[in-house]
Amino acid sequence: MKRIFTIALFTMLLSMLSAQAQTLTLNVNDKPLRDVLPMVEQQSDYHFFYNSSLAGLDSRVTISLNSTPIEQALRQLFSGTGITYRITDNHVIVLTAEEKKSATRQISGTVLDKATNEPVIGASVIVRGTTQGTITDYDGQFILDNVATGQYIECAYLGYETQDIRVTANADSYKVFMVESTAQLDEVVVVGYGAQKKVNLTGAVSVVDQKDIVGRPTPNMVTALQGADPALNITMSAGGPGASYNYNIRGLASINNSSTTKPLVLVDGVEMDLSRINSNDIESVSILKDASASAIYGSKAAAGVILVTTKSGSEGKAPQVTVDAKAGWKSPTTEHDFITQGFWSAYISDIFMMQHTKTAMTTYSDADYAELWMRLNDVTENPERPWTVVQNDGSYKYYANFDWYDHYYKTIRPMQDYNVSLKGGNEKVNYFVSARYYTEDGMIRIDNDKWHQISTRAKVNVNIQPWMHYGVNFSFFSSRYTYPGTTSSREIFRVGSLHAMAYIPATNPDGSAVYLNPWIYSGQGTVGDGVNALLLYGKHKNLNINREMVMQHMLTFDLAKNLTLNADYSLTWRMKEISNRSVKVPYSAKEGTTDLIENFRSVNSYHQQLARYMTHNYNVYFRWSPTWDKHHLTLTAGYNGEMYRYHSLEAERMDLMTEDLSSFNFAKGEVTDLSESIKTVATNGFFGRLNYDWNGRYLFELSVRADASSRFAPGYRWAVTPGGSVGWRMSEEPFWESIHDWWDNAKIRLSAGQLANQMTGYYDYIQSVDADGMFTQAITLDGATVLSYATESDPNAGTLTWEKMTTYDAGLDLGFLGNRLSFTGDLYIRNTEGMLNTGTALPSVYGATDPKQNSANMSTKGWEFAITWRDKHRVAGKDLSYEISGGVGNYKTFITKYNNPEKLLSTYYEGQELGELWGYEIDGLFADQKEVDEYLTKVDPVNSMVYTDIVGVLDSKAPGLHPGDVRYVDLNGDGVITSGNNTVDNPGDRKIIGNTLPKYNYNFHLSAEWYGVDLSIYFQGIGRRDWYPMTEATTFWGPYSRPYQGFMAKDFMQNVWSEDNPDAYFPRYRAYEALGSANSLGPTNNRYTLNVGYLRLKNVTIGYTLPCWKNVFSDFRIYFSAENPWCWSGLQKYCRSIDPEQAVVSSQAITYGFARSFTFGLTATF
Amino acid sequence: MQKQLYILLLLVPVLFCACTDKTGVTLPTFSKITVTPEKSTYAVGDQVECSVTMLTPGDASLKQATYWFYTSWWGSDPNMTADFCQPDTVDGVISFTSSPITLTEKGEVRIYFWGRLEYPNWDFQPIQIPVTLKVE
Repeated sequence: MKRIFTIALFTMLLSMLSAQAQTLTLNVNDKPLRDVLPMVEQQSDYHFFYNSSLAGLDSRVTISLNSTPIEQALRQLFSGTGITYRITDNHVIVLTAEEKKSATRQISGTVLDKATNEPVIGASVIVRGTTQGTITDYDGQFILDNVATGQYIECAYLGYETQDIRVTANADSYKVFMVESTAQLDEVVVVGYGAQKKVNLTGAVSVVDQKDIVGRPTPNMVTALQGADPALNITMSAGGPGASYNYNIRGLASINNSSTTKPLVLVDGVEMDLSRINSNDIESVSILKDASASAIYGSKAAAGVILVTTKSGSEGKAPQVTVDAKAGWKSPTTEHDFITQGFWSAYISDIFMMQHTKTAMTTYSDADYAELWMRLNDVTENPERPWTVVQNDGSYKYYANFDWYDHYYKTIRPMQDYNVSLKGGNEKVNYFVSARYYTEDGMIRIDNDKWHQISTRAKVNVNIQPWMHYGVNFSFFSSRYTYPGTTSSREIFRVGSLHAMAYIPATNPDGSAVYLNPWIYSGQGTVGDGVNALLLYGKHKNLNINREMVMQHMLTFDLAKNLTLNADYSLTWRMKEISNRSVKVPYSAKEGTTDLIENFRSVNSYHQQLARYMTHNYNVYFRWSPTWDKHHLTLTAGYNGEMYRYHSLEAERMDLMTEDLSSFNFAKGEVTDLSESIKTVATNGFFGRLNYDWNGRYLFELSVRADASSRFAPGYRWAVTPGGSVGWRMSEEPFWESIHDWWDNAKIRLSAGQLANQMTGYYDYIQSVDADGMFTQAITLDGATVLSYATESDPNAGTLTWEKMTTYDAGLDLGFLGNRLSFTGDLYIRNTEGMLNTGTALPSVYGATDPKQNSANMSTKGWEFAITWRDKHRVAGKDLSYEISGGVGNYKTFITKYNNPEKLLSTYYEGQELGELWGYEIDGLFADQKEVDEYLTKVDPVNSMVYTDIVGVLDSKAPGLHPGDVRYVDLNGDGVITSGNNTVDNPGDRKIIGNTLPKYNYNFHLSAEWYGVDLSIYFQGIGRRDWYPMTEATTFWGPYSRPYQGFMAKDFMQNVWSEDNPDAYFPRYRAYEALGSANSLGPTNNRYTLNVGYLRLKNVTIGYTLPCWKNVFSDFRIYFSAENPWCWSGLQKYCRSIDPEQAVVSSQAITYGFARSFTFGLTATF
Repeated sequence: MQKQLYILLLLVPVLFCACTDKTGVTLPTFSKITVTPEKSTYAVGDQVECSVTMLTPGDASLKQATYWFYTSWWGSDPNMTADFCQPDTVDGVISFTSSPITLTEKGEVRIYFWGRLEYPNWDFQPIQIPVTLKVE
């Protein structure tokens, strides 16, 4: 042991002596320390051992050594580099970071733009890993106290790459050069047949951030896009799954608002329906708003274009899997606190009806009312006071407190959404594959409706040769909606509440359905018009299936430098299947008996429709993008062709023999429908676009498209539509330099362009023969065989041709403070000419409907702007990045030409503002009889259309005007309230009282991210939109429309006039007053026209990216997202059960309820 | 600090209640139901008569009032209806008396005095006074 110790000691001493003995000779000038270390190793027996990422290794050193002992040489070498060393095991030098000295000091510096050497104002300067920081002043200078040698200073400014500098021992002042972020400068926007740098855009194009769409708890892109841009107006037709929608960009492009005047939606260049796109697949969305941007797409782009680009694989990336799963629930956006007390539902309908015809709605006596009153607060049946009493003749008498809304509809319904995607690639191949499953329960509680949806996408790009690239993009969508009731689920919402009064339960004690009952309205009332019995029976089955497959092949050839040839072909195949089974529905009106409902909803029949849609689309175009010095040119030209075919087969047959199977094999009765429809259309188009810019300062774009459509007769098929735009980036001018440090971007855009719209039917220029006519049973030759006949359509104008839309746009793009504050705004005029409408009136001897002509014009003027502020701050040692943005837009459209010389108000007229609402003026309710009498001296109600029912119904309890009735103003002073000649010049006592089109479409958005927590709050709304609840808006009018309307707000009577309540909103109670134009509430008037503008919290999402499991997941985020959680509207003051968006779907506001959703989800990437 | 917070939290609902615009009306008050003849236990077939006396008239804004007697076993009997009664005023005392009620069921049966009082602005208020009889 002693020997070993002696040898070890000796060896150590030798090595120490050896170390002392070594010397170095080095001459190094401004070289990284990392490169100097091998030189030391070459001249000595020492080897350095260090972490290659060690800070200080890149410090540049200048040293001159001549036979300097190694210890001294090492001291000199590492001085000021922040690196210290220790020698171990004789010849190993371990390098470590120099320990921070406790001594700190003040340092200062200047932050400069590397390109211009101008100071950067407002840049954040932070000591990394601390909360200590400051921002640069007007000269780009900063001062930081208590900074130690070796610490890092981080300089950040929006639009620049973040720069780090290390504080060294021998420097107290620093210069930091900021480099502009290429990501921002090079941000490209997808435009027609290509992409352009955003800064070089001259057309009106807005981009929807994918962050605003992806991950939202919506079944598709439609609702996610709602309000995303102030120019994009999206209106849902209903709130149910798979609901259709209406949308436009900058308002209606034509009064012929058919599918051909909707914006064109292209997904990776292929036309698709927004509702069939998985929002998780989206990479970017561009909205082309003006004609110059859309012109290259020609005939289908007349109303603007929405370009959707889906995600692609990435080169040089390992396969990456992303799983997103969320689940939650949906609930109505509106309140449904309806009357559920039988007493009140009977009482209100009776008092309303008594004022109308002296006859009560119910047949209930005072004793029955006493029964109802005693049960007033019985939420469930009290055995002492059953809700159904069997009469001596076996019939049922009802005293229920039944909640019909709860009976029909679910207020909480689950939804689930699962997404998985895989992407990756190398230099040869990249790929993106995704799949989605989405399901939600519908709101119909009995025989619950369900929606299932799957979609998948596979996108592969292959670089076959360096000059040849191939891509394939396949997508498949399938939805399946099963629902009860009749063919339209809207039926349930429309008639389900009629006669469904709270005093009537849905079922009898034996479980049979309640339908017809002698105690309701003298036996005339049919509960829910049979919908209740139909749902309870559960044998009506409906199925809607939609399937769509899109296969796109793309080839790109790099023919020469800056010259590419692109060719693609896509096939879109869609199938729609609708099947409806209807059966006879039983009910019971007397104990022990069963009857069958006798109406059109209760028949044994089976109906099916199968429709196929096939579209072939091909594009061939080249792009040439040469650059000479500061001249940049891009020339795009090519051909686009499309062939579309629609084929539908529809049949219906009666006497379905089974109640459980849906097949024609079991239907043996009369064939009530057997029809086929085939439609084809083809278009050919040639297009070209020239983009030129000089040094990114002067921008120019010219595009032209020539389109031919088979919808028109030969000779009228072609339309040539040009578009052009110019832009001037003033901020690139030399004179801008003095303000460039705070005003980064200023661009003026001007554009003009024309688009054409093929708004006619498929064969409108051809006179057709319809051979489908069948005489009635009475017209036969042999007494048995019913004769068929053919009809010839009215003559058509063979000269029908394209509608033309010319758009002028002036835009301004601004960026301030390092582009942290940005503004974009546009003013535009769109003139639509040659809209199809009834042409010149022909003499009556013509004997047919006047043929249509391209004879109407209209003009739209509007504006929109958006402001964004985005920034990043250091908070508690972490970056807090946030963005606040908002936008608003508005437009007005006027008819400038229309063949209506009399200016009849029943159709369009020259000078009309689209959407204008004509109505009477009501200046209040008659407070007392004195006011009535005074009014009667001036106005004759008998000859006033609006009072016809009040004064004219002979059976009325009290005919004539009374206190509490509405007082119409005799605007023209003729002593009667009428609609005059129904012309602009003689509108009677009407005037323009509002506008039904949405005004001031706005949004604002706040998002922030800090410490792994992300928050997004997104508001959307409409400033004003006028809505008059028409006759069947029963939820609004309640018993003023139909006294047997079951859904009535609990506080409804608080708004009804009485002597005790003279300031009430609604007039004296009286049934049917809103049901017809001859009644006092039927005609459109100012008092009951409501502003259904709204402010909606469209989405709020909060997420947290977990910092753990980094060895497994590259990203793991959990989140909560709420869609439509809150809404404010003026409508809610008088009616909280109608969503403002639901109101504008139709004047009746009867539709599948709009929903809010709340989901919890996680996203994992690995 | 914590104490003040608790007090504040307690005050919040009080403030909300104070802000409500529901004023309410003062309802009339009534005596208990007097059953004649008065017995501790009745037999099936016995006939009784019930009466109630109004103690205070309540809010003068009362527009209309309807009163009746009712028994627990009439509910499922289609032939039995509410026994409406009019007020009798004797020496300024208002009382309500039922028609003779025949006890038809054994067990504990209830007889109710009901009222529906109609005040302005559709404000309907209930009166419910029960009495339980033992029938053997």
